[in-house]
Amino acid sequence: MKPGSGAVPTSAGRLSSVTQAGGCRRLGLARLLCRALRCDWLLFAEPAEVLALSGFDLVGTFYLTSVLVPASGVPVLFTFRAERDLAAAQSWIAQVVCWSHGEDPLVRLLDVIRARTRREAGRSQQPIRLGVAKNGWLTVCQVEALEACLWLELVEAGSRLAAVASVPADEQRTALHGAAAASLAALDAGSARASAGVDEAGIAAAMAVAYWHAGAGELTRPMSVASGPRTPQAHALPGDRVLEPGDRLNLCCWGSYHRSPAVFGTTAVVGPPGVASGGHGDPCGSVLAAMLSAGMAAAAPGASAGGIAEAMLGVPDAGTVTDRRQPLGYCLGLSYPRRPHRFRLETGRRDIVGAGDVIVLAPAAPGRDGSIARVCLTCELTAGGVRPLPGAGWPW
Amino acid sequence: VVTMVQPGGTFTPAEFDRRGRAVAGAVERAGLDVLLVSLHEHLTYLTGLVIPDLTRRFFLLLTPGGGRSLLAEHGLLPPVPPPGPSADPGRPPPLWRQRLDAAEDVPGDELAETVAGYLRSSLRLPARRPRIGYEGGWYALSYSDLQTLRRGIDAGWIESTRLLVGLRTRMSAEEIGVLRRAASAADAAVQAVIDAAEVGAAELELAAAGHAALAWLGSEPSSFPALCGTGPRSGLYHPVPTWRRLAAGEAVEVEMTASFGRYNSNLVRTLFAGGPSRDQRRAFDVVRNAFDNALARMRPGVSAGAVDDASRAARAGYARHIPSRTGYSVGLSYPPFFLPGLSLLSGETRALEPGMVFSLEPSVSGHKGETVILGCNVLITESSPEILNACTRELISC
Repeated sequence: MKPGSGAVPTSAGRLSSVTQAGGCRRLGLARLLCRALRCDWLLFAEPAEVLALSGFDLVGTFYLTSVLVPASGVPVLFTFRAERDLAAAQSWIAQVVCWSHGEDPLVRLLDVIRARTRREAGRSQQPIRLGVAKNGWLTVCQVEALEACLWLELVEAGSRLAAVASVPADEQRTALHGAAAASLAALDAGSARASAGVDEAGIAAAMAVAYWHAGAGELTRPMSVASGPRTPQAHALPGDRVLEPGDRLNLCCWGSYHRSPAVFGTTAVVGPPGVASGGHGDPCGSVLAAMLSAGMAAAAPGASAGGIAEAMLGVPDAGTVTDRRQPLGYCLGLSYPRRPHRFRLETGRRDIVGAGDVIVLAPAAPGRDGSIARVCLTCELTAGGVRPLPGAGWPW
Repeated sequence: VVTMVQPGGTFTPAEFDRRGRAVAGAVERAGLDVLLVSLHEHLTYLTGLVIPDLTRRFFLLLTPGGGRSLLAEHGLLPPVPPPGPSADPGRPPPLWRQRLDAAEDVPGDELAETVAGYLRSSLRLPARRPRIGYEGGWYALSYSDLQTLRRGIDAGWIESTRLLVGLRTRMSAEEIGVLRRAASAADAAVQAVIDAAEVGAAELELAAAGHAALAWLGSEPSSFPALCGTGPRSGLYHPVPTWRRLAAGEAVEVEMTASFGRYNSNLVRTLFAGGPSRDQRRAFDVVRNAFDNALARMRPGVSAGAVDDASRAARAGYARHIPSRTGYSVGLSYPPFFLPGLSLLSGETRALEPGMVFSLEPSVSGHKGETVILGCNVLITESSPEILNACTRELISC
């Protein structure tokens, strides 16, 4: 490990989702896993895993950027030449190996694995066992090329790699609260702009401006704004529809701060021109409130994702939700745009939530006019219970 | 506020017809009986549907005869009002749906099995062993889905990742029109950063100024995040903004990307706080020469590698500080990057063609700890190359 890492600010400056202490703890767990699987190396290729293990917040998520963890010896951060200096500045992993344009990154990666194994383990005959997630961030072509490598034996370790890399750490809380502040600022700005005669795109622009001025990081999903007949679509992108009095309006912001995400969504009925929307007397409110309460009550450490979803759907009148296939929420981790969450809270899902996890409860309820009201509330799970992130009120 | 591009409504029906014909021709020339498309960019390209949830998988089945059938995981497709007594019989289906022969909503854990069944029963595959193409080089296709498909269909499975990307590298007049709009928004964003850049300003504050300009112009979140690095952080080449504050005499690397209908255009510059030092001026002059040398070579028939060679020759004195290729093709893309198309990279033998658009962005990076970079989007035309950005290419002091 490098001494004094972290001197160069990372993507969100003073607030960081990961620290060297947390990362080294995860690297230690990865080593144990590597030995337990009787592997020589583990390959962590998901962007969130790379960040959690190395501190490197890769920008372009290029191709095969990854962390190689050996059963013993020092790990390797493998990245693209253009991001070498960024990786070296951010990461506590001392050995950074790069590939350049024109090189095949997979060939370079295999060279590193073979050379290190031969040098340190003195092995040249038996196959080298490499633990990977075949259904993760690696492409099919990359997995098949690894499978075709005669001196390599691939070991499927997908969910166990993710479990090691997603071990929560207290230091993430600070960044998480920064993300919450930015997302809530966006919702406030959107709600303030929303009135009859304003179009959805204008509301989304107001949300984005407030969000960025809060100093937040990359959005993990686009701002969602949907009004009237567009509300049945979850994650709806803003369009040019102009709000009319009495319209249902749903707003949602998937913000992040140094890749720690916080998701908030609100719903309202649009008032007359010049009057900001408000949720007072919203007939959907009681159903949404009951679903949120049921979700929070069910989301104790050890609960399953499916159990939380089913508790929310067990609320009277929740059964009238038109699209029961939509998830009732998400369990978040470090988030990148194509990987905004770890898993969904949906019926039948067996993933378990634990203390330190962060979940989003996202109930929906139908209005009388055929519209759908949606809200999102991000909560922290602690040993003592579930609580919304600081600053978050009841979401309407 | 300029309103956001509507899903499915950006381009004319004739444009989608052209794309459909080109894709069908490519499938036929590749000798495929069906191509399984799984990349979200390609679904947008062929239907106009802009996808908000990139975690949802799909398979778009394309045949040489122009057939287009979509099987998508729940949650990917926008809800379509169901037919029934209350439905408006005169209302046409949404535009994206009109561009498909069939569209089915499938539970995620049944998607690959359903596609295999559809291939067996609904597509008229030849009696001989069919040839099926798939996109194995992108993240969107999962290993387990492909294994399920292979178990379900006895076929020759052909890796076809580059098939549609190659087609999309050369853009139509309509696509170039959307890119011009994105380039104009990127100009406005960089100008907003220049206006906000003063000693003491934080990188995140500068980036926020650029983001605000993009938001008010109706840009979607871009494929590539905004970059802003001051002083030694500019030397990181891909500096995501932090709270570090600009000091006199420092360089600022800034890159803003605008996106409309998922067509992305980026603009990158280095600014000099209080004017450049002699070293900074010399580095800028070298980079400017590299840009001009490369631009002069950007004509139809010239290889992409020759453009990089010309740019590198002008930076020979800084060879150790060239971190990357001279440029790359831009266009339709979702995060996390510009979808790899054609690189302006030494050794690349493919030739430039009219209608291609590149981000031309030679740099000197890490020299005395800073990055000096000059970038623009460049359209290849039958005659001379056209720069799509209005931003000055002269040295910028702030």
